[in-house]
Amino acid sequence: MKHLFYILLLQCFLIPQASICQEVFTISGYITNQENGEALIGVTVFDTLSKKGALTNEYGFFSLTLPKGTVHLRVAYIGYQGEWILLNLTQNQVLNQPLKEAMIGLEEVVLTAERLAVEEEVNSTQMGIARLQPREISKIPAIGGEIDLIKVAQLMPGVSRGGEGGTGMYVRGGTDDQNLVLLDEATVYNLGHLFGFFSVFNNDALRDITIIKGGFPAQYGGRLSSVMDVRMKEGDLERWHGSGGIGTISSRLSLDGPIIKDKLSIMLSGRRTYIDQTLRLTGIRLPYYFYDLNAKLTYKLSQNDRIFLSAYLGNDVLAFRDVVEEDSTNGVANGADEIGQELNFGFNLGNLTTTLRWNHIYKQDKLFHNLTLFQTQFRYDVGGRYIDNSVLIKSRIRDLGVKADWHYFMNPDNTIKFGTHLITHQFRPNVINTGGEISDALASREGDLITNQEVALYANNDQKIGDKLGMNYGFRLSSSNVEGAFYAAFEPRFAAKYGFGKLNSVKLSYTFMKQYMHRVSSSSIALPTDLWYPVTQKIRPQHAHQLSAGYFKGFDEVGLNISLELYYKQMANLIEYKEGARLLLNDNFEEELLNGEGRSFGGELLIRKKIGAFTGWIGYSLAKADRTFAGLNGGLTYAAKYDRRHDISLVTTFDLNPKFSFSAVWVYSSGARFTAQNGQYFFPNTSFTGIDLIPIYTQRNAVTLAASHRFDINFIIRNKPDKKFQSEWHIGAYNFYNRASPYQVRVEFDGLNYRYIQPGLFGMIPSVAWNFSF
Amino acid sequence: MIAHNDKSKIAPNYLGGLFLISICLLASACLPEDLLIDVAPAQPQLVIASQTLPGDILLVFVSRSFSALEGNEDSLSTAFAEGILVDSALVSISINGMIDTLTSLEDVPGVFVSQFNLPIDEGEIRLDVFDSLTGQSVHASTFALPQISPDTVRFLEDITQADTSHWIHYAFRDSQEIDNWYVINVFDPVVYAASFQENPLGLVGGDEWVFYEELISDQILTGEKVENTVMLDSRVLSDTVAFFMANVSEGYFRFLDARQRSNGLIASATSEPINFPSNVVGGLGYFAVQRPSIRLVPKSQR
Repeated sequence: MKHLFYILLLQCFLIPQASICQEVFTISGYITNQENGEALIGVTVFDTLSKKGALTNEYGFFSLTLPKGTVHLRVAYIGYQGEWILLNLTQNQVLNQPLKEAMIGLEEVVLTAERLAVEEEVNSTQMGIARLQPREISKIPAIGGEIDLIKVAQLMPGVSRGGEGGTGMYVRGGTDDQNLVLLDEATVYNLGHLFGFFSVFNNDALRDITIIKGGFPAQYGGRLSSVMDVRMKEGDLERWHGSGGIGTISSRLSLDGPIIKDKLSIMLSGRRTYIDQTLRLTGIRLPYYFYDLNAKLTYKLSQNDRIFLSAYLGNDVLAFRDVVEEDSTNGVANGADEIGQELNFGFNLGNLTTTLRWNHIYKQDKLFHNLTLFQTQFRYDVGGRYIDNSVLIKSRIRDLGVKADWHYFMNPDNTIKFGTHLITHQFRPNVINTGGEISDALASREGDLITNQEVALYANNDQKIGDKLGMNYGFRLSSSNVEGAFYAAFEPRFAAKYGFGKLNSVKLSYTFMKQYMHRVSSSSIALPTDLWYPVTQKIRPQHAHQLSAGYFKGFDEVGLNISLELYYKQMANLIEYKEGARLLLNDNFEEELLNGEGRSFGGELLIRKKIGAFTGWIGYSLAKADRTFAGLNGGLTYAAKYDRRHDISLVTTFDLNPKFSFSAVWVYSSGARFTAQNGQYFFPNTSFTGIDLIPIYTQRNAVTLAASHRFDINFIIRNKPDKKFQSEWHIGAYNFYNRASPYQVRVEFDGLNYRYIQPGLFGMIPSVAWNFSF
Repeated sequence: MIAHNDKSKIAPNYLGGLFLISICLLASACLPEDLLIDVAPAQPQLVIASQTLPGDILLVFVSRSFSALEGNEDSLSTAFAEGILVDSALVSISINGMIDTLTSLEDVPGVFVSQFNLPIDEGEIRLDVFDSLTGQSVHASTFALPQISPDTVRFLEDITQADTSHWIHYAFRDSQEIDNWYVINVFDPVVYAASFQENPLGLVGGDEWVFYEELISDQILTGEKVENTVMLDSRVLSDTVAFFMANVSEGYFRFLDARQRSNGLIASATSEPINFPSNVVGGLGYFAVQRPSIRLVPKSQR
């Protein structure tokens, strides 16, 4: 593999020499949304004469070097009206092209764009990728009408959800902590609100979402299983806009516009739940709420320089307060001293990310540079107070990082990306402050501050060789330095595509990934007690080899893509905790962890239609994932917890006319795995003065839980879709046919025997939301 | 005009509230039926436990495991226990070719006692159990461990203006030459005795007379002298406590550690399995031969 890499690297530097003899010029610029000036990612800019093209990068920039002469460009993007541009190319040229969003019903206008998108998906070397746009997501039914990016991502084949209704993602047999989730380049550690039932992403504040499950380009690293690259909206440099919505669970408001016209813009977006207020109407006291705030400043320093400052703040707050009252029947108050005393309990946890980016285009218009400084923080505080006793437990993880990336658009056939990333992680788990008598039993402590540095260098080239063959090859040199240990790895990345016939291709990819931090979690749902922890001398970095192969077919007339991908993933140094591990308030929980191996393989079928009034996808995964840990299950291989054999998603949106749309989702998942207690026995206690009941379990994860399936619907009724102030009603139902959506396992006594049951978390949940934009 | 304004203010709140309540009612009315999970019950297996009495007399407890899915809480009664205690077993101990067939205690089914003082320090101790009722047989082997007794044990009462607390102070010597594992248990002998008289099998009521339990691996001990003072459970009532200490094998220590961990908060919250180690081939439980040291310690002021 190393030899192959060096040959490819050499080729990367030799190929440009071949094109030196021709007189060429570069067309470069940003492709933006005409409505709000936002940069568009993945737009196709294609010269129909030379048959050469380029895609805009994640910052909306493209650069296309073509021979001198006439150029006939097609600029096309899904959901936008394409543009045709005729140029006589005699010098380097800047082309900043706005695209207009397509109105529903204008199929002919957008058809060209959609066809190009179909072609691009077949012709790209990238596999295992899904791109989602907020307006597509906003049509898909959601719990309580709460539009949720993660829930939509879970509908993609290969992305298995954890517990029902949760934001857990288990990609191609990996674990939930193996997903790299980036919001404007900053890592987001906690994806869920309300114990993971709602994602932290406010759809109104988002611009573009890319999910990669395999064939990872070299610029991404640090996680084994997936990358979710989320970009926040940019403020319009020309006009002010607003959008928002009122739903049954939360309300949202977003504003964006110029502070200095064509120079400086701002985007502000906020969301807050009122579950507490809603439940109060029914007499239930639940002093819980969450909120999100997103903000972004965009400063156009010059034609070639842009600066972005973005921030995200999200918090979950539970502030329970009660006063102890005398109650002789249930003994709430144990003594007169306690009556009238306050009982407080609560938590406050959330993310804070801040990113400062500078985009610079060098003079040749071929080299694009992005410099990012970021910080991200995830913290949780759990505490309580009763009489004179108080406990506050805090944990923190904070990253400070810098990323320098260069995109060199060498020629239409070679785009080289290279850069370096440096991240300093600071971990401070289990800080405890206690007061009162309880401090005798639980002493205050500062916890250990653990710091480590992750450094990475990467380079990769996306190369087209003739009309049929394409390759994307590169490497990532990664390292992690923590007290007493230094780890480094060479991570080769390779992907290739061979096109044949009309819009057919086969693709192959191999990636090696390293992960230098882990989440130590005791549950499938997001709990405040989940801890992120770095590699140490004892906990070695996880790594994974992934091999994927696939067949891709496009039908450009109808805007249909079909892909069938097969993958095999071998993982090592995975983390599990020992049986009966004590993680809570344990400073030495390293001792409670075990290293083991994992394996997953499967196939994924995706049929996705992007053109016309009727759009959506059918996804199917057939997968198997297992684990082998010397200290678990007697050393025998066992099924991974979320080893769901079959996953089916049917997602459809039907735009009947500009005023009315209908969408529906049907999902089916094989049951997750579970270890059940199926026997017990008596055994004397240590002093032989009593007898305990000792449980007997099945083999680890030997029981398959019930399959889950549900049907969700959503109707969208738009009011004056052609006016500046637009509004729409979303009326929908989650789990329409009221099937139990199993989320936990419980033991129930039915009068004769105990039995395991899975209660449904939700029945049918109707929702109504009103959204507006101007 | 005023009336009109008042109405316009009230109506949206009223309607909004009604709307939300309707949604909540509709949602709660639609709670779906639970889904059943098919879990096969565990097949009964022979369970072994053992204890050494002064004079190196061995007690062996033989019972059967049972399904966790059958019966209810009432089934953990003496009658139920008697059903799972195995009095139809043939139990024998062999050491260096010497065989002792244990006799069943008439009053307490499932408990077998050695008939003569076995030379348990002279080699591997093998246990063989055959249940004539089911045809099941198990065997296990272990070695006897020397008795290690505490040098000091004190039961202390600490009375302050705010409250009263109780403490146990102990000290013993740990051999530096070999690895040892210890079990310490402090219990109320008065409450235990009363409970035992009422219910000799002790299946109901658990171990509410146990105030403190500790497992010590000498891998974490730094010196020869081991000394500790710990606060006891706040339920302490008696003027005397029983201090139990035993030097146990590593395997039995791991069994007891698993038992202690299974009572932990995380284990309870996550229902993650804890598989108990066993040295019983073909069965469950643990066959261990240790010589505990038990002291009755009267209360003194701290």
